[in-house]
This record gives sequence, structure tokens and C-alpha cells, in this order.
Amino acid sequence: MRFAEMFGRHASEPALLAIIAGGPEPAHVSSCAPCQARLAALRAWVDETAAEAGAIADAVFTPDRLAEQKSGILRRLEAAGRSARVIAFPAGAPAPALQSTRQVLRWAAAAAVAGMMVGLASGRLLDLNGTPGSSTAGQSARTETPPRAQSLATAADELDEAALLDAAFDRISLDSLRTIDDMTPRAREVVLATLPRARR
Amino acid sequence: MSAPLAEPENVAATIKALVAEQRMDEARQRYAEVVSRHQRRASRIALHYLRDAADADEAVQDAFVKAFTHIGSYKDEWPFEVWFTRILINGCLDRLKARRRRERWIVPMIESGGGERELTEIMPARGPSPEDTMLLNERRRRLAGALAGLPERQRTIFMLSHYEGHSSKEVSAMTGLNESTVRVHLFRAIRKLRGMLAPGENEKTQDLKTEAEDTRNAIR
Repeated sequence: MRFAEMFGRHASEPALLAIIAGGPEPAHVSSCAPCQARLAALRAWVDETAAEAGAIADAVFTPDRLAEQKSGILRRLEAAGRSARVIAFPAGAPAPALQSTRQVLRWAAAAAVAGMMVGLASGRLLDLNGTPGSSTAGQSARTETPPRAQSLATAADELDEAALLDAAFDRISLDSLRTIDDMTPRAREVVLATLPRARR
Repeated sequence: MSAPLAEPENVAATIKALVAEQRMDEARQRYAEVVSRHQRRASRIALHYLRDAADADEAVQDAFVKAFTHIGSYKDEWPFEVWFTRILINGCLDRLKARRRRERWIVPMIESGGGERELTEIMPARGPSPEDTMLLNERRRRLAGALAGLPERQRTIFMLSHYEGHSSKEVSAMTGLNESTVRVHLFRAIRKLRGMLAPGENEKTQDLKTEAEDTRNAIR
């Protein structure tokens, strides 16, 4: 018993709410008319609030919507009852099936031969286009010089050689050359000496 | 408050037997009756849980389908309603968890485009005159706000106890909570609603509390 009740006061609202929530009813409340009236008023308020809250939901879930919901549930139940259907692959476009292993092997061999021929032919072509005498892969990978640049390089080489020869001739004296010439056997003389006398 | 739990016969047990005998068409026919009987109540619960009509609709459908497909595990010690409500509540909780996970990663939409909405926003306006409609909508808006302000568990227990008039024993079976815990949550829910919707009454309560405190102090 609460202090307020001990001193003749009525049950507080929380005490009355506890009764509504399922708690035991104190003796004072059972025998006190004002407390009973307050309890009844509180109960009515709670019921009204609950009814109003229910009405909020009912306004959303109209009979039409509930009917739709029910048909949705029944549709799903029917679908759940059925076993899963296996959908066949479209018959109009059958997958191209290979007839036999032998045929597969034939195709593979033909493809391999064709590949080899193409490889050889392309190798030949590359060789023909490349520099003469440079058939190896390492040589063919060399950077090629354009024709104009090549001719210029050749001309420059020739000029260099001529200049070097000129310089050499300038440096060598004629006397020293004559000595060498004297020491060297002449080819004609040697040949004539080896021939029989009748044929000279 | 709605009709009590008592069903004309234990339809769920009958459906269970039909399913066991593979008489599926009959079972579905009987189950359609069960759906009609319980769907309004289920929709109310789901709507107040999820606060989104489309989501609630899906949750109810899922719960009915799940109950049918698992009818073999139904035990007739409790009415079908109790068993079904437990399935529904668990489904709603799963949806709420999924929604919270989504909202953690996705930036919530501006205004009320997100998951939860005021119930009065999705409710068609009804009433004889614009003033009445406005008053009704205002009252309902306040009530919806107050219900939304309740913790999830308190809201559920209040709904089950007072919308549907279930006893604390039945609510305990539906929610899996202890009976005394159910009573405590119900008491807190009502007190909170009273505080939010009837501020005058709350002040009176405070006055009574102060008086009690004064008395206690005087005795000391």
C-alpha cells in the first residue's frame, strides 16, 4: 500500500495504469468509488487510443487493398505448391552438336596444316623483302636504311677511299716503289719461262 | 478491441493434416479462410511496426506464405493466431534490421522519402467536412507520432494487448518474452502514451507524485 493510500488519499495514475497493464488491483481501488471511476476513465482512454491507432491502419489497408493482398498470397501459395519447371532450351536454335571425335580430329589437323602453310609462306615473303644474305632472324631484325640514305653513304665511302689513296700516293716516293718492282718477279716472264720452247 | 482468439475449430490443425495427406488444393482453400480472418489484424501490426504500407503489405504476404509452407511445424497447443503472429513479428524485425543496414550505407532521402513515414501521410483523408478532416488528421498525426516515439518492444506489446485484446500470457507466447516483462513493457507504453497525448493528465500525475514525496518526507 502506498503512502498516499495509507493517509486516505486515492490511488495515483501510475498505480491505476499498472492495473490496466495487468497488475493486481489493490483493495483500496476495489472499494473506492472515485478510484474505480478514474480507473474506468483511464481504461476508456486506453481503449479509445488503441481503437484510433487501429483506425489509422485500417484507413491504409482498405477492403480493396486487403482483397488484393489476399489474392497475392493465394497466387504465391499456388506457385509454392508447384514443383519448379525446367524450361527447355529454345527448340528453334539448336546448339551445333559435333558429330564425332573423328570429325573433330580432321578439322584440327586441317587447321594445323593450314596454319603451318600460312606461317611458311609469310616467312618466305619476309625473306624476299629482306637484305640479301641476311636470312637469319637476328639479321632481319636489323634496322633498314632508306634507299636515298644508302646511296649517300656509298658515295661518302668512295670519296673517303679516293682521298686515302691520294694521300698514300703523295706520301710514297717513286724510287722505293721501283725497288720493290725490281724485286718482284714478273708474271709474264715467269709464265714464259715455264712454257716449252715450241709454244713460246 | 477485436474479436478474441477463439476460432470455430482449429483450422490450422486441419490444414496441417490436409498438407500431410498431399491434398494441397483443399488445404489452400481452407487456408484462404484463415487469411481472410487474420489479414486485417496482421496488416495493422505490420504497419505499426514498419510504418510503410508497401513494406507492411509484403511482410504480411511473406508471413502468410511462410506459415503455410511451414504448417507441418505448427503445434496446436497454441491457437494459430499466436503462432502466426510470432512469424509475422519476426519477419517485421528482419525487415527493420535490413532497412537499418541499408540506411547505414545509403544516404537517407531528403524529406520523408525514406523507409519510415508518418502513418497519417499515407492515410487517405476522410470526414464529413474539411474542419473535421483536419481535426481528425491532427489527432491521428499526434497519435501516430506518439506511437512512433515508443520503443519498438513497448509499441508491439501495446498493439498486441490493446488492438487485439490479447492477454499478457498470449502476448508472452507471441513475442517470446516473460509474462511479467510483458506487463512491465505494457505499463511503460501506456504511461508514455498518456504523457505524450494527455499533458494535463501527466501534470496531475506529477502533482500526485510530489504529494507522495512530501508525505514521505513528513514521516521521516
